Amino acid sequence: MKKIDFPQGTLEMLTLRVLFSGANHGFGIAQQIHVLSKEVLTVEEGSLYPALHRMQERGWIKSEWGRTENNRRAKYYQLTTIGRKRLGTEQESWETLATAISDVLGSRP
Amino acid sequence: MGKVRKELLQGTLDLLILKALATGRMHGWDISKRIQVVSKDRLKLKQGSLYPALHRLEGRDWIIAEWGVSDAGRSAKFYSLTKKGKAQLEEEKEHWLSFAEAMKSVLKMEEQS
Amino acid sequence: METFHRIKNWIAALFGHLRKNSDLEDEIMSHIEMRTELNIEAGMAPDLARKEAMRGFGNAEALKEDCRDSWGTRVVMDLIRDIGYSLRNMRATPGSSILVVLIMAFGIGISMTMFTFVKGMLWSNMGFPDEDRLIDVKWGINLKADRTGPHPIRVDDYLEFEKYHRTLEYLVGFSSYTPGFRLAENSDYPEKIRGSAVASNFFNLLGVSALYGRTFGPEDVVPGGERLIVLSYEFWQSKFGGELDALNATVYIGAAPCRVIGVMPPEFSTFPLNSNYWRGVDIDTEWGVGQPRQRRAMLSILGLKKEGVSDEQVEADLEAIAERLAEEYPESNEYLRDVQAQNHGKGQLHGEERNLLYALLFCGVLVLLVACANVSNLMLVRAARRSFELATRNALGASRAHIMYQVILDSFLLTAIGGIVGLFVASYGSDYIWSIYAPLDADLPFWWDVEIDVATICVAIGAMIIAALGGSFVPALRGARRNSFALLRDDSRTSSSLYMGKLSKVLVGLQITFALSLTIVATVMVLVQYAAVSQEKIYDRDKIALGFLWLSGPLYKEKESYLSYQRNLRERMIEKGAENVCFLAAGSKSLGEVWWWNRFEKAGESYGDPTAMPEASVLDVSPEYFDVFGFKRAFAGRLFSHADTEGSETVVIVNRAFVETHFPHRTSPIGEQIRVQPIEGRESGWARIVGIVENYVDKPLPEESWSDYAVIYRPFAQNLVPWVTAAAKFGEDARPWTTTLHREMGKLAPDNAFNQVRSVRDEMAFEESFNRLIVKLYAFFGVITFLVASIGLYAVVSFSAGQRVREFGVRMALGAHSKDIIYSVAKTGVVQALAGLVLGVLVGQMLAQHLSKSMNLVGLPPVWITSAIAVILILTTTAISMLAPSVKAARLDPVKALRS
Repeated sequence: MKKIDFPQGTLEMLTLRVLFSGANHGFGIAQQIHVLSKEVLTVEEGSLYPALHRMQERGWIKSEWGRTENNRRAKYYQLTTIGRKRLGTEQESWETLATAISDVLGSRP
Repeated sequence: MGKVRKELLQGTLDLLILKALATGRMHGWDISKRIQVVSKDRLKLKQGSLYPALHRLEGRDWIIAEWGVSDAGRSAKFYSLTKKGKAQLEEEKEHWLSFAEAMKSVLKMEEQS
Repeated sequence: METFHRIKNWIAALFGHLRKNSDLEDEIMSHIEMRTELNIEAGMAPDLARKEAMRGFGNAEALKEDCRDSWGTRVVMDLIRDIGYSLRNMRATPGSSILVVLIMAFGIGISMTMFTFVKGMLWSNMGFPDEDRLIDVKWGINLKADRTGPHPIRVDDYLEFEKYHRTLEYLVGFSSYTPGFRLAENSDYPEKIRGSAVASNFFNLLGVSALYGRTFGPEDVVPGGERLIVLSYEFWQSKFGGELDALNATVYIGAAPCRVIGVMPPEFSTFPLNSNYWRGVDIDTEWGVGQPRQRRAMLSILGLKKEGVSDEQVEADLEAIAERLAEEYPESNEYLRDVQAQNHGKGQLHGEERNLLYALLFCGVLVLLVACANVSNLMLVRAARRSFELATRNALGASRAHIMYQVILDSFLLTAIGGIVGLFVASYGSDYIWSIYAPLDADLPFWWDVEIDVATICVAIGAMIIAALGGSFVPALRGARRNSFALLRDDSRTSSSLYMGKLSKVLVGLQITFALSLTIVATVMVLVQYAAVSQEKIYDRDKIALGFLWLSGPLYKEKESYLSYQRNLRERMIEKGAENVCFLAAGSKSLGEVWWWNRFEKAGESYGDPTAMPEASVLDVSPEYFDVFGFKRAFAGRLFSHADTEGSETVVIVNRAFVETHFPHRTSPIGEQIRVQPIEGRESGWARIVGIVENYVDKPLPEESWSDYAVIYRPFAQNLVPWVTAAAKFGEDARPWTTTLHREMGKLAPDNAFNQVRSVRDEMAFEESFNRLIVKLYAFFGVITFLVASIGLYAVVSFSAGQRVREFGVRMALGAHSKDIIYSVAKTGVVQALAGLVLGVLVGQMLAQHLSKSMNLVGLPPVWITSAIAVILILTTTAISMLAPSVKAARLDPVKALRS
């Protein structure tokens, strides 16, 4: 099964954005992204978890084992101060990229 | 909207190239220059990714290449869109727009209605 | 900031790797559970729901790998895995692995032991500030050539030096003595406690201050003033219980009250000469007052050079003063013009002893080289054995670098293990040797410290690296070469296999060289030991007890009192059961081979300058000496009697070696007159030879060493000195009698404490301890190196034979005889072995010559004998090592051989 290649950094940014609203576990994050994007975006586990571990290793997020509403054990992630700052930067670079591409696309053929 | 295509990264590059060629026939260097200019210097293509992409697109019959002579008087390979390519361009554009839209909604974190 | 987190997580990840692994598993499980739940809610059947959930994860292992990658511990985990692989490889080849580890351990163990030993004695710091400017000052007649050694410096000379020197910051005279020590005025027998009487600026010279209380300085030491002493730390602990009220206490030394004013720190220990306390004296007024110039007390001198001054400048400075003194006081200072200044630290060892230590170090290096060559060779063999495996790996796509890395890692691990074991061996070894040697020598400098430290470990690591690289680098390169197909096809031919013919042979040659040199030296040492043991003295060491005493104090102002002391002691001891008692004017230490060497003149001959005069040992003895020390009878003439006193004719007795050396063509020199040069200013007149006795050594002496055994005996009564060695002979082992002797000596001379009383055997053990130790070490070296070299040789030759099994099979099938095969195998290393032999003999000879000169080894068998023995030893083992595998090869069943 092939992995989805999000443009560089976009998956991280989406995750940070989701976590900005509150702590969540991996499954929940993927769900949120899927739902919020009106089911356009599907995050594969194979990209999500490595990304989560990468971000944790860099100190953008931290994790803790907790309980879901159904009393299941799950590992919850939350933003750190660095992560919050990071979100801003990442979002900015995304805006730049998106605008740039729009410009190219919008230019007269 | 259908699912977003999997090779999005690759796809973005393809999109930019196809769009550039929509303006007319040009060779590789021109393509990257044009993209750079139009994006106001925000997008810079690496030569290392451009040429493999061009070959890939050629392999799919979305663009066609022929040898010609550049302004400088050198011989160069010129690329142009095929009919298939034109159609593909529209499709890629749609895909991108829906992706960008999806990103936007996630970033805004609006609850699903 | 991000980097900091990365590092923090990296370290945490290292330790929590396992935990993180299971954590990740849990996380994945929980995700799957949640997904499954969702699917079931959406209406899927349970197992379908689960399947779908799991499918999302797809290739779980790849996902886990990706996550682990981000943990950043990959490098370390890979290394651990590689090490694990190496260890398994070691387990698969236990024989050669153990061999490599053992040999490395031996090599490093022994060489590092030697290194720490030598370092501890040669290169330790004393711990004084400015210690490189601290010098000993000695003087004598002709210090370089004169075997009598340095002359004691008398008080008056010292005072002149002190007044007129220009090149020193401080000049301090001191002397050690062992007067009676009492804690209170009326306590019992005084104890023998060694202390130093020092000039008042002693502590200024050294630049050290007291731990508690204070030290004394020039302002404290005034003529007729209070006597002040400073205690050493150990003495303070043992005698005063470490109590601070020792300060300002009054103790009684030699019956005079002294006040304790300070305690030195433990690092200062017992400098110089094993002192337990230091007393400041005003040398001019307190020492040997009233005695004539040449007698007045003897001192040693320490100096602190001014900045930038060389030893030669100090010598020139003081020699100028000595010259003037020689002019002014010819009777006492006539020939004393030579001054020697030497750094105190360096001066603790004689030149010969230093050379010995350097030679020891060199041998340690040789042992290490043998071990390293051996190990490298063994690893070449190991790598060669793996050539097939490595070629396969290469063919399957392993990168060159990785294969090299694996081979080198294997080697490093083995040598590292061996090296670590070796360091432990060195640590225990040097401790053990030191614990044997140190207690024997009371005057051991306190800063000699034998221990393993960073420098040693670095050297050891260096050796390990060299050994590892030596054996693995080349085969690693070879193994990783691109064209490995040749290897896979055929591994029985030397040219295409990894067995480096040339390199290995060179290593073999080197090994043999080193091993042979060491064996030669070791053989020399062993023979010397043997010779020394068999060099029996004519007296029985076990049956004579010795006590040394310096008669001082008010009772012994007159010389006659020395003689009455001797008479009384002898009577008492014979009453108690001794067979006889005699007295000699020799320090207890000089009962070794070389006594007081002195120049003398023969009547009727004239000499240009003092150095042209002949020399002999001079020993002043009481008449009973010849009986006690085993001289059976006068060879010619007569022995001493109590009639030989100061009033009667001055006489001497000489021994056979003396006659052979100095009166070689005379039938009998009895009646000839000789005059011994002043010993420490004590003049003697012309004396007539009245008797000739045998040599004190019970075997025929080679001609060139006669002069070393020549002795002039003089009657004690005609050469009275206050220091006396009493020697009591018993009919049985003297050791139980030492306490009796001690007690009687003490009873007759209260307030004169003296050194331990010992049997001659024990006393000489002291003397010879250093040399004996060295000899033992060399013998040990030789044996070990020998073994190591033989084993290595065997391994290499046997491997070579093993490689060629198929070839032998073919040959034998074609009709070769077993002896052809043997010849073929044995031929493998012969050239190198021979080269090694020749080199080894040369190096070994050189080393042995050097050593025997340094150690004054007399009575050695000629060097060619020892070389021959060594060569025969090595040849035998080499032959066995080489032949055994070849014989094994020859016994092969050709069919089996072809099939293998």
